[in-house]
Amino acid sequence: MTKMRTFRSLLLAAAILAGSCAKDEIGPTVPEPVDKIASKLVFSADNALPGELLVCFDDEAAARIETSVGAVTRAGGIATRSGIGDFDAVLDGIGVKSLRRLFPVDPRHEERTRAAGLHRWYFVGFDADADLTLVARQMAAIAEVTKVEFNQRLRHVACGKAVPLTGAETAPRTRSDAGFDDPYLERQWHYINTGNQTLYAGIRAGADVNCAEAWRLCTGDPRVVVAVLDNCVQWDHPDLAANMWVNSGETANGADSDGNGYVDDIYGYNFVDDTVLTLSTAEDADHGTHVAGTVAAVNNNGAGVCGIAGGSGSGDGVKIMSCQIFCDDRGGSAEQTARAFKYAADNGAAIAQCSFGYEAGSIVSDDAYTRGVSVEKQAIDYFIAAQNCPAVSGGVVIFAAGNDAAAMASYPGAYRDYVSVTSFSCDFTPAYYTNYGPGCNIAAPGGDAYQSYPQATSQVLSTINGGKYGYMQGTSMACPHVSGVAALGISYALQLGKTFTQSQFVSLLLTSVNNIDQYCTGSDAKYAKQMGSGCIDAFQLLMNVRGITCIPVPVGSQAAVRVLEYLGDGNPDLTIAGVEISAEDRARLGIAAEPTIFSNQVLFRCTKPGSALIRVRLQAGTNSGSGMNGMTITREFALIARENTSSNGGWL
Amino acid sequence: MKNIKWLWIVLAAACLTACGGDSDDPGKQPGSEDGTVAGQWHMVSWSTLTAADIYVSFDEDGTFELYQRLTKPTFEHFSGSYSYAGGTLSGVYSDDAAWGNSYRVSFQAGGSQMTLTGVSGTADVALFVRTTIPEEILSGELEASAVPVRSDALRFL
Repeated sequence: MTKMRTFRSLLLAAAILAGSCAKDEIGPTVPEPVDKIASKLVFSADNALPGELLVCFDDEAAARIETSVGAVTRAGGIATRSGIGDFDAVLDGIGVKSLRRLFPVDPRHEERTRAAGLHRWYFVGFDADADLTLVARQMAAIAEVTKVEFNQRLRHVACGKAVPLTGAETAPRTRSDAGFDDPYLERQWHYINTGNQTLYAGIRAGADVNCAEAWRLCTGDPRVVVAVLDNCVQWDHPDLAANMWVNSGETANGADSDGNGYVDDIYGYNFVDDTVLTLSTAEDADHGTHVAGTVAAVNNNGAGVCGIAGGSGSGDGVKIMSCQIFCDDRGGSAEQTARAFKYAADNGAAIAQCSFGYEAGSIVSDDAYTRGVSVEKQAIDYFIAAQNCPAVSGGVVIFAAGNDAAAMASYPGAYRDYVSVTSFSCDFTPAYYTNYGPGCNIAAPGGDAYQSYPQATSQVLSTINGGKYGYMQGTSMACPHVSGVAALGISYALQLGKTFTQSQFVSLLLTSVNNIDQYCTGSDAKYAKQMGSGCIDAFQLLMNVRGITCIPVPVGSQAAVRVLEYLGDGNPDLTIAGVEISAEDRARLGIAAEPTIFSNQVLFRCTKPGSALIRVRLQAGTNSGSGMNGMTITREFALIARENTSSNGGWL
Repeated sequence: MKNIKWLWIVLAAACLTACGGDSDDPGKQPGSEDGTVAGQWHMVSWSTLTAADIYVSFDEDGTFELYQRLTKPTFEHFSGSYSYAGGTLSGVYSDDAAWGNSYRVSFQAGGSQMTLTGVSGTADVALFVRTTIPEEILSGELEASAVPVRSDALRFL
């Protein structure tokens, strides 16, 4: 006890001395108890960037710091004082280099920024040699500090560098069955797989996302913006330029013309170097451009490749916003990622395409991921809450599951509220590198380099830097297939005037699937029921967007409804977690007892003819049993209780 | 005699006219207006259900085409033959399956709406509106494709 008093006295004295050089500072306070200090720390120094911490203050302190820091930054300076005596005392001892609000002020969205508490986060840059854990604990000991987050580093989930398409491989310019004249579409088996064995002898027709049928209904809509959080997208690539999002309020003049807090953000922003978009040159430089091409390379322009939601060649593709969080071997920090998510939300994106994450196994439960609520998670949730398209009430976030060949998805995608995408090959088999199991939600084509080696044709073909085209493989490549299909679904909803809540739309996305388990046999048996709900199907999604599915039930005898038969191709990997029929609807159909679930069937008895709604809670993906969960989704069906029905299912 | 002959002709004509009009159709439902079953229809409600995509085309030659998006996200196409007599509609599918019910027909809104009420059972009342079935439905574009099936071929490696 005496030691504690002495320690506190010393701390107070130190704080008073250090704080005396700042005017109007809040005086020293009693340090927080040790256990409370620990509870304020988010993550650890492992995998954290040196010389950087992310600090969240309480409301009162945040207001004070905003005044002191804002005064310096508005004058063009770099702030190094907070106005909080104890905190500045810590800063004095660590060679502080900068103190800035993590998310710059965008007056258009400041109100919701404050409502989400994001204005309370500050970035502190200091001497890289300082002991990160010690500094974090010193900051967490201050009463006004509510959280101190180690700036973790996320990574690309690339799986090898791009294999450029050579001139010798150039296909003749022909109009495909889809009606598009892009010459390389024939090589994009991942969109339309006709079983072309010149690509790979073991290829299997249908191992694609079913663009052939989906494109008859919809090819995109420029009102849908997809943020690509990745390397810089080559914005002037001939096959991407027409589908790049353009910030109409910004001018390339070295100033923040639209006042959104970012200078010259015409096609997006470079959050790594806090500057304009910058093309990477290192090994995985093509990653962002490749991913963007899968979502929305320009269709029917007589050149190159197609994108899933790239339009019909009439300027009607979805738009790509480049949110650069990687540059060569730099970037990928939680701070940069958080800023990118918020930028995407504040500047109109409806989908976040995220082919990055933490190494599988570095976080192994939702509790561990959410403990303390990192700024990165807060920013992702801010994105999900932001409505940027009238068809869907919030943003859709889609992550790659990871390429560790591990029996679990990597976070953040593994988190129960985010979509995590596994990868299958051109013969429907799970790709050798894909993560699978708990946290994984849906599968998409990501290619497998070994299948067609030394040719690259069994990988995914898309745009790469230099105005070129190339093959890549990975869950990084599977992920934009789901993002592209989601963008197509939202475009179709706009086309039909349909509206969905964010969770309704994600539920439709995860139930628009074909079975993959039939291909998980032999040495691939370990993947069965571990790849998510199934293989994404764009046509199914569009048809699900079109309207509700009905389930016929008998009148006067027990209904045993196999709900899964009414989802996807009738055999998705989903588990029924709950069911609900409102009291009003139960009365309408004369259902006396609550429906029950038995052996993945829903049991109840209707005694009156009529129709009613049934909401079924489903789990897409498996649980680990130790805190990793599948995503809980809800699908709504119309029950049809008719006394007289035809034996062939026809309505009349 | 000549006059009596003409009287019979006028009476017969009057009788034929009266019997040929819908207004005196013995099978006509109470409150039903004039109308014809032939044409293209969209079911807009059945019980509380208003969201199902069901279109039907009754052709003059006694055949029908039914397009429904009901138990699957994609459309299904059925066809067959129907008969309409005494205000009752009944039919059979081309696979010889009988319709689940026969329906009493009534027309509203000047014949642009048609209500089919199941002859057997209760609460089987569907409201259709006259429409032009969208080409994307007629063309089969919205029907399911063949679901990819597994090849029996095995990979050696």
